[in-house]
Amino acid sequence: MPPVSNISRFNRLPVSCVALIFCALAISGCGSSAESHEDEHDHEHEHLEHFVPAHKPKHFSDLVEQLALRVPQLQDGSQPGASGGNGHATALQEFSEIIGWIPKLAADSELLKADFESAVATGNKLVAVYAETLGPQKTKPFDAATFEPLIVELRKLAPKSQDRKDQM
Amino acid sequence: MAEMMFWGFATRFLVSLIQASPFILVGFAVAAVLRRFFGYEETRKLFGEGTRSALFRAWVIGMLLPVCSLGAIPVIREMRRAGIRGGTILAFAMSGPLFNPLSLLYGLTLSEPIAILSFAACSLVIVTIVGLIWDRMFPDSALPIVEEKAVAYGYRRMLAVGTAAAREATSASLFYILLGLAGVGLLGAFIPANSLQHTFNHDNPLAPLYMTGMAIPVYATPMLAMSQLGMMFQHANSIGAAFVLLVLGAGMNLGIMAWLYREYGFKRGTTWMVLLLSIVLGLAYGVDQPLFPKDIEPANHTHAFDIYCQPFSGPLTTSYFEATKLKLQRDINPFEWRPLWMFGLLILSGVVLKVADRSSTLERWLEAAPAKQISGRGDIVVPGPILGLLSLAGLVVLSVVGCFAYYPAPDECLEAMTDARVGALSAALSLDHTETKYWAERYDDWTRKLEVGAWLRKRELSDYHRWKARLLREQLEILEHEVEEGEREEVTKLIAKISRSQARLRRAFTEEL
Repeated sequence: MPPVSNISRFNRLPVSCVALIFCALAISGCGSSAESHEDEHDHEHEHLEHFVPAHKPKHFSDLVEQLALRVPQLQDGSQPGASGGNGHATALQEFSEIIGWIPKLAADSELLKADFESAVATGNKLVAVYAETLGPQKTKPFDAATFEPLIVELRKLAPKSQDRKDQM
Repeated sequence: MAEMMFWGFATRFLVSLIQASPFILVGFAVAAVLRRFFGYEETRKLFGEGTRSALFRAWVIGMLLPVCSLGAIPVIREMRRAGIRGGTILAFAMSGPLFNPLSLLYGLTLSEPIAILSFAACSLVIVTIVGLIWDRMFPDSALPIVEEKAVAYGYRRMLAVGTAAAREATSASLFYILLGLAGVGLLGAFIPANSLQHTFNHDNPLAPLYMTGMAIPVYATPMLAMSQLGMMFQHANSIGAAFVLLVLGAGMNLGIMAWLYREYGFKRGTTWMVLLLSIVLGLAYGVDQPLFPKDIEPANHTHAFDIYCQPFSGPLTTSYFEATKLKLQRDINPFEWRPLWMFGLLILSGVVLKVADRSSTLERWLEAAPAKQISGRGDIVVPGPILGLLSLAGLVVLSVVGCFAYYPAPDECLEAMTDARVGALSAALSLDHTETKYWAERYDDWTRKLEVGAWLRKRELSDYHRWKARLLREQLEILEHEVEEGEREEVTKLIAKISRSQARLRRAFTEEL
């Protein structure tokens, strides 16, 4: 017996699936084109943006200072009885993002390879400490003292990160 | 308007044809090797026909051979003649064009190289699942096995490969190849310039779906697809859309689709397409979030698809013919024309054979086996399949060796970068956007070659070096935008910044490697 039944079972499958896919594409496509017609004029003048958050430090030294400034603020926000809320959540988010920019800003500086790697290693330690004390899965209470030695480590690198002429 | 569309079609068609030519030539060579060195029986064995490993073998062979989705067409037609099942053929057709050694290495310069490895693994999942289901639904998809005549050994065997390639180049393969190129031409005719810059942003949940609609007529060489992926990662666009672009943009084209429907009919062809699109879309949405680059600030646009839109926008100062000529002169390197002439020569040979030898007398003579003339103990007749395997392995080795030429040593890259840097920065100073874009793209390309060239020679590349190159690329991208906006003050600052980054890059790759 040839596998007729096997084939006939799928007889309607291709047509139904094609119809479904075309419907999906048509619906999404129509939405897109309608939207694009509407915004056509705006798009012509739309600025092609690379989003740079306002709290992004300008350079490596600035990053170190930002971290040093923000740790006491986090301490205040983490005190029992502190209001917390959106402000604290934003501060935490920004602090975490600043830590994440360590490799990029260290690379965008005069730091040599060994110092860059030291900065990245310290950044990784900061990530770990952040996760332990401030992250959603925190296992320890926040203590500014655990961050400070790491920020001191980074601060030692700050002079080397500046442009050659500024170092002199 | 109609004139702009015509020249848009012509430009995109020609550029794609020129870029595709080396891969198409490889495709014809592979098809001829399968025909004359392997023969149908050995070709079936090579692809594991009838065994459980058939799909995996097709995927591996596809991954190793340097073909594109157009170059795959003569190969899949040869596989079909050899009596291989549809699932295996289509597995090769889908995986062959995705990667080759050059493009895989280029992928290493992406912000998330793991994404490329994941994409490769996903492509195996796709061809295996689609192939298994399709073969199960249509177990009788292979053509009946036919007897074939072996070719005589010696120079006749070599000549037979050449004639097979030439005849194939004037067969239906050429029609499917031109159809594939027409797809990208039509996009260039109808899609307004730069109109796809915002369609594939990371926050657009429909981006993979839009890409599915667009990627089939798109034709991209493995290298082009990889560089587009690079741009999408650099802009943190939709990763799902990037995946669809790789699988369908590089792996599919209108020619393959037409072949699929022609060979297997509407129902089987549609079933394949439905299975493929469903699985590709499912995987695209699956990888969209996990592979999203975490250390990149997302941009609200991408330039990866500018090359599929109309190449001309706004009023031109010259005729469209002149503008097209100028664009081709700028976009195509002189050495890139040679494979096109070789492809033309192959077609011409095929035409001559068709006209002068309609009854295939030449083939009959080639197939007439002479008596074995062994002159001594060391004189042996090498079996065709061994020669075939050596030829295919030679192609793979050649493409690996070619990596060292394509990705020169860091010193050479830094030297070659000078022209591009001077061109980009001086164009930026005069706020000439077209020139800045042109040179910045070349500068960007050299930073990637620098990374891969260093990795190839040292077998490692630190994050320090990768960051130096990546920063420079990011700054070039911003420079291009600032020039477009005419922000002179920002441009001046960026030029100083890029010069500093270049000095640091040079130091990193010459003194700290």
